Amino acid sequence: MRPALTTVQVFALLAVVLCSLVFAASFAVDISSARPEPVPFDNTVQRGITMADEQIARNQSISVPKVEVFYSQYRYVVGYVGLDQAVTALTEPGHEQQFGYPLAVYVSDYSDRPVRCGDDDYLRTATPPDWVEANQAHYVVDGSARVPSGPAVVPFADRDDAAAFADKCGGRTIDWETLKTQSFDLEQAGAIRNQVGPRRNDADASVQAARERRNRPVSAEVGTDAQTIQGAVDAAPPNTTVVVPAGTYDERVTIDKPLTLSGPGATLDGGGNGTVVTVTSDRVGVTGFDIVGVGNTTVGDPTNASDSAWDATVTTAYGNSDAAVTGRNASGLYVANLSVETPASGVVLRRTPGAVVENVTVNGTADWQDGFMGVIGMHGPIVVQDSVFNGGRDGVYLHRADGTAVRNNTFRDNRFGVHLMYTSRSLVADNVARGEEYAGVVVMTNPVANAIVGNDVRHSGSGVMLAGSRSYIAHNVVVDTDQAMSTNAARSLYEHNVLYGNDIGVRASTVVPSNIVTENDFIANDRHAVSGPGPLRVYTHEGRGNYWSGAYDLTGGAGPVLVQSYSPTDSVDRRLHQTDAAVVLRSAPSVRGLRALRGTTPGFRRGSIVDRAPLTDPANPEAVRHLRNETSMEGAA
Amino acid sequence: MMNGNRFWTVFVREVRSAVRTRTYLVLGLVTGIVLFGLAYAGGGPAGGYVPTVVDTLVAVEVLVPTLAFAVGYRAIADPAVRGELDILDTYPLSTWSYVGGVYAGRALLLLTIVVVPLLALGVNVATTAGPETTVFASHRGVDSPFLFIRFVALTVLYALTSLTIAFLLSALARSRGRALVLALAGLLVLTVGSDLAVFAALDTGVTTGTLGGALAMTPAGAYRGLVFDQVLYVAVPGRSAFVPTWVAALSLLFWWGLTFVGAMLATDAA
Repeated sequence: MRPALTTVQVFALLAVVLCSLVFAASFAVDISSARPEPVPFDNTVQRGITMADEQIARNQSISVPKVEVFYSQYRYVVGYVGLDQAVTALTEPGHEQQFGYPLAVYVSDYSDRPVRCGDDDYLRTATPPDWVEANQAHYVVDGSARVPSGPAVVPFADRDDAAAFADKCGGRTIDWETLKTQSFDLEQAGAIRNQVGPRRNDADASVQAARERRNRPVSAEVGTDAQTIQGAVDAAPPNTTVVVPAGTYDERVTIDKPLTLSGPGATLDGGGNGTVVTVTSDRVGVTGFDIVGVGNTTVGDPTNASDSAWDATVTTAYGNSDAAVTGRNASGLYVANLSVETPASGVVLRRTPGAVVENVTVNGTADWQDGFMGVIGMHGPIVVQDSVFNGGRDGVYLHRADGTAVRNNTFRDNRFGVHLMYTSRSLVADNVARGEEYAGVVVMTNPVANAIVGNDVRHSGSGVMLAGSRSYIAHNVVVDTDQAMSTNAARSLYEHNVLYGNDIGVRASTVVPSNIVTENDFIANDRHAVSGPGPLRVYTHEGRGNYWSGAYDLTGGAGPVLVQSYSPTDSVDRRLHQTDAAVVLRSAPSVRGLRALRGTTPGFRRGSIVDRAPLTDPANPEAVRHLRNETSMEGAA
Repeated sequence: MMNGNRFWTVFVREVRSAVRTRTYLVLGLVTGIVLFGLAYAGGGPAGGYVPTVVDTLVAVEVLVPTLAFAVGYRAIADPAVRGELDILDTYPLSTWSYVGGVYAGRALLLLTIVVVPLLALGVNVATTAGPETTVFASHRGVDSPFLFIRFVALTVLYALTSLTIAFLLSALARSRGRALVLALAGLLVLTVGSDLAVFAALDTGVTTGTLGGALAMTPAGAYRGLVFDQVLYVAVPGRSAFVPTWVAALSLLFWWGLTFVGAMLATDAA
């Protein structure tokens, strides 16, 4: 007879059976079956809309179709505003490599809703749309329906609803697969590079046109033809020049006709109250004054706002800052060769398309908190060039000034050198900034298609801080800052920048990596690059990465790029330019083994940057040689 | 006495002796430290189960056979040298009960050393992995604890197979010195040699079409192939035919069975 099993034996058997069952079950489970449910859109990582468009949509109750994407290797739910944005992102090469494949895609569902395209063609609906899976939806494209950023693609779960909408607002109905083959006319960062030249030409043209103000015949001279400047201005016929001889004039002047006021050597003293020169007419020129006695009201009373635009308070407050020269609703204004002492602003331009400010020196307050902006540009493109801004708050502050050019200026000891708010398609080029409290160039509120090119920022809080998307940041040199650049802008191109001797070279701060960072030189920074939340960033484009001082491989740098990849966020790699012992640790079998497979799961890796093809030599050898000479001279001195 | 109870007696003796040997505790601790160290150096646990598997796979693939040989290389050779086997021949104890009992005991020891740290790592992932910020809605992606359990299950299978190979070599050795040499040689063949053999044969016999099968024939290749096939596939969309799944699974079982029978025969001959 078989003896009974002891209790221990029974438990042992049970344990073996149980383990086998759990193991077997783990293989039986279908991992891929779980489909995540849509989440409230506000909780997603949002992409694809400028804050200006968002404000317009909110202000005018425009409904913008949205997309939620759940990626296999990305923990956050990504929300796209606009189907064009989502489709462009989803079909981008290299997209899957970084985020994995989409586990689920949901789009706004406008079925069963009173959806309409009004007289202005804007898409509106009384009830907010629900969600439908992207591949179940029918899309109306090429109709007249619009959202603030352009034509709208409108999804419906119900085919008949889609057809009914197309009948009403035009367009045709297609499915998801067809939609994914469409290409949308979104400006890509690479295209912005090609726009730098044309933007320079546009600025040149504006400058040429504005300089015409210098060539008007003289109709009056203050002192001989009139006792006061205002008197001469009032008496002079349009399209002439009023000359102000050298001397000091205690006056505040308003120019309400196309006139040039020219006063080389003359000093205009506003008496410390309000704005000194106010321009309310098109095609006015103000040249050649020393302006002092500007009032000290930095910000107007925002409750005086009279219109209902979403930014009315900003316009009213900042637009009424006391200044040496203020232009309002006037095109073609030319402000040149001024020297300004101001406790508030220098030149304030509200709705002055085509205004040009050149060769102006604005001396603001020693402490930025006491003063205000060197130039404020609002609601319209302007050109600011060859000017100097010392102290005060921001050198140039732009608000909804799309298409503005700020170039060849010098900024010293401001809060920000150039500060862009709600401003897209601008050119910030070849400026020099020193000793900025916070940053040389800062772009906020997610605008698109800005070009930040050839600026030189040193000894400042930050170099170039960027938000927004599809922008081009190139050929900038940033030296000795706390943080040379932040890549807060998405889908942007960062190339040929030189980041030298900063505490941090680049802070990768978008949650969803989508930038191209290539051909930059990272030299002698305490940390070449750090990364915020989000998956692995790959700083390599078309087989070329960046130059990182310290990066090496064992081939001795025979080729143009190194064979071994470099990760500035890796605790070993990031010390390579600081100690050679890091080379020894990097060669350890365990460290190598660890790296061998890591690239398999980029989407799950948090806070890392890798360059798979680091450059053997600097990408900008001229600039780097120059900097190395300078720093060695500084060291010798 | 029935065979089953004799097996149990030998098993219990092995377990008791293992519990008395403090060095095994140290071995387990070091294994745990290495696995945790590697995983954390790679940053896998913060990312999830799949990145953790990616970070530890290379180490586990080498560690598991090494530990199996450490635990098993003298399992049969020692009693043979001490003459215990000759004494046992006079008892009514079958070779199966004896080798099986010793194997079960050592296997329990080996699995404790390997699986406990791995499970601890799994628990650690469960408690630490997650989004860095709660500002945004998050989800798991394709990551899943089941993938980690699969990894542990495959590792168990690999460990058991490695251990029978160690037993076979131990039974063939018949002296402690030879046991050590044979174990080291076996370990090299298992962890490096078999892959190198497939690699070397790539241009002479193995073709693109048979590469997966050839890899699946070797224990290490079968294990690695199965980990890719059952765990890491989620991270490499568009690729699925790493090795023929069933060939790899049967290959591991085959090696396990073959070397186990071999070990028994060799013990009998000793």
